[in-house]
Amino acid sequence: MTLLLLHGGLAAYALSTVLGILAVRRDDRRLLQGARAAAVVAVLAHAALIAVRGLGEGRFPVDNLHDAFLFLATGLALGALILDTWRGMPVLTIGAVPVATAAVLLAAGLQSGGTAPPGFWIDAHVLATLAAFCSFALGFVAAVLFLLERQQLKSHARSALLGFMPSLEGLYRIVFRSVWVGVVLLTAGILMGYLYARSLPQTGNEWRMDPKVLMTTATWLAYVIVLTMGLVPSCRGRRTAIGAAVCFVFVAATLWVGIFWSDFHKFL
Amino acid sequence: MEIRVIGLNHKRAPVEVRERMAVPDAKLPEALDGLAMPEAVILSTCNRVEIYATAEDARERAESFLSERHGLEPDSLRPYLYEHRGIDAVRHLFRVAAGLDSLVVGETQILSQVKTAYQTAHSFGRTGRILNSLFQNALRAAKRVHSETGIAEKNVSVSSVAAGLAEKIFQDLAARTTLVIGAGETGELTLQALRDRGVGRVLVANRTLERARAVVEKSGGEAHELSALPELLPRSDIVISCVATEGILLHVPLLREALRARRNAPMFLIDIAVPRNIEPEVNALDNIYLFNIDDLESIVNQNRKERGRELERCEPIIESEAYGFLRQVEHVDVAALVSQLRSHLQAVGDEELERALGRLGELSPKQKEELDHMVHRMVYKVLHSPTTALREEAENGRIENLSHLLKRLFRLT
Repeated sequence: MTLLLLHGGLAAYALSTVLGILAVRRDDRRLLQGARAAAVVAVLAHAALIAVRGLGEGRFPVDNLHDAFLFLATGLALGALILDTWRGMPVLTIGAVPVATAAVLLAAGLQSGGTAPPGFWIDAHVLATLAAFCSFALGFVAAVLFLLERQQLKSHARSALLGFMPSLEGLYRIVFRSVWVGVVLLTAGILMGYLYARSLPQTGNEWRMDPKVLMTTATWLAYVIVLTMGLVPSCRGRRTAIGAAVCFVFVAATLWVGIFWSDFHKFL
Repeated sequence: MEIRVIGLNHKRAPVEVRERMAVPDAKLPEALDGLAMPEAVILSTCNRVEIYATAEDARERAESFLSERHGLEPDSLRPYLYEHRGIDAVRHLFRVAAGLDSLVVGETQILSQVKTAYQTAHSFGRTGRILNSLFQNALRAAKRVHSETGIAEKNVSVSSVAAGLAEKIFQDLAARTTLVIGAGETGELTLQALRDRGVGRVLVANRTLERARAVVEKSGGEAHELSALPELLPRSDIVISCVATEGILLHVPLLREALRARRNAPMFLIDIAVPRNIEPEVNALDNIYLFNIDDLESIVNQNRKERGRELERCEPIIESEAYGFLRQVEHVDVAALVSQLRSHLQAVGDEELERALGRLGELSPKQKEELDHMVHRMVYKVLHSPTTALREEAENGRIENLSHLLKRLFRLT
């Protein structure tokens, strides 16, 4: 059952990616609707998978690397679909689905690497941090789309992609708000992780130098800078969008570090 | 009952004829009465006058109605008129509603005009089962064409392209201020296109304040002299410049200053003047988007080509919707015909049974019941093959002849 949900969802993501690319290339609204429908199927399948595992094993649904990547993909695609429906921005779904597909492929190929210790604060820490990463991922997608649309308008190029694009202003708002929400969530996640680590009697201070902790702090700092840029009039627009797109490298690096180098975060 | 459309349009009739034939909205009820047809819809726009009906003599009635109403000889009107029947009439209406038969292919205004024509006829009781279903399906087909293809999104005039680009930059045009520099015709058209899309405040700056005031009187807003530009630019999100002047009006330093005053909020500049009014280098400034007349015209040309390509994608949708509609109508017709046939044969059977029971004398209830069942079984078996054949013919769109034959053979009305 879980394998069926995982691979069925992955196939739906792949189908959605292909249909999205074809919709833009051929300027075809029907293919776009197909891409959306496939994305909805994928999100439902993976949301069900996360819930089934959590309920079935009587644990918090996200407690290993595999679950984390699945959660990221689902959160990103769900966020894009909600904004697509609410604000009429189909291009967000088209942009988010390939990123979600890549995350699910990673999830499918990852060994769990261990599970998180039980406890409310660790669960809240994981949830807030992953939700922040989802928000940054959405900001990354919106920023890339903003820069593409801006470039097309500046160069007076006419492409089918421009026809699918919402207003630059609308995309920029998503970029800025995603960064804002992400910074708040990541701040909360880091604080909860800190409180959890402090509460462990046998743990000393060595966790402070854990590569994942250092990388997460760097990510937080990078996004705080992007957030500040968004508040400065001279940086509003292109520069902030570039910042939001480039800083996603920090999120990817944080996850990467977690997979290979972190002793404290083997589970996530 | 066959659907027919009789009418004239921009392809067949010159504007002098079309304007004489036009039926204003207010006169539609009177015109529908004048047609004296049980089912009729009159679609009258600046590019077409069409009468949709189901009467056998629809053409004669439509011709005499149009010629009498407008004081023309039927012979002089005839060359401009066309008539489509059955599937051709259905296909024609679906294409009209989707804007595929319009002067500007893909325009969407016609959809609301078709809707109004239908609603007027419906409210005066001039539409029955067939025309109700026809127009509802036409509106649905048009919406499908608009949502599944990009035909309605490719603007084909400079003013509408400019307005469309403004929507690519700003999320809410109602909250935007537009500055029109110069009071030329193209500027006014562009302003109108933006107004149609809900743009908010309007500022007009012109060499002469009187002309600026004249524009403002028509579209609302504030009138200013050109010398006020440095104060107006920081307040303006969209700038349309169309002043007939030799020199550049908007330089990089002026716009850089305006951007600074606007806290770097984006500006959309449309330079439709020749020679140009806006220094091209301003496009390099962050958050400024400049389009000149050549840029806009190249988009218009590309959109025209793309509309041509989109048209090919619309036709299969029209075909599938038209045949879908016919199948739907024929399915209802078949069901009604089968029911009529069954009632007719059952009535004959019941009559004969009654007669036989009278001649046979006293029978037990079981015997009577058996005879009754036998008559029912016979009716069912006799009807089985014709019913199957009717359904098959309806599936293949060939119901008309068979239905007619059956009605004649069994004297059904």
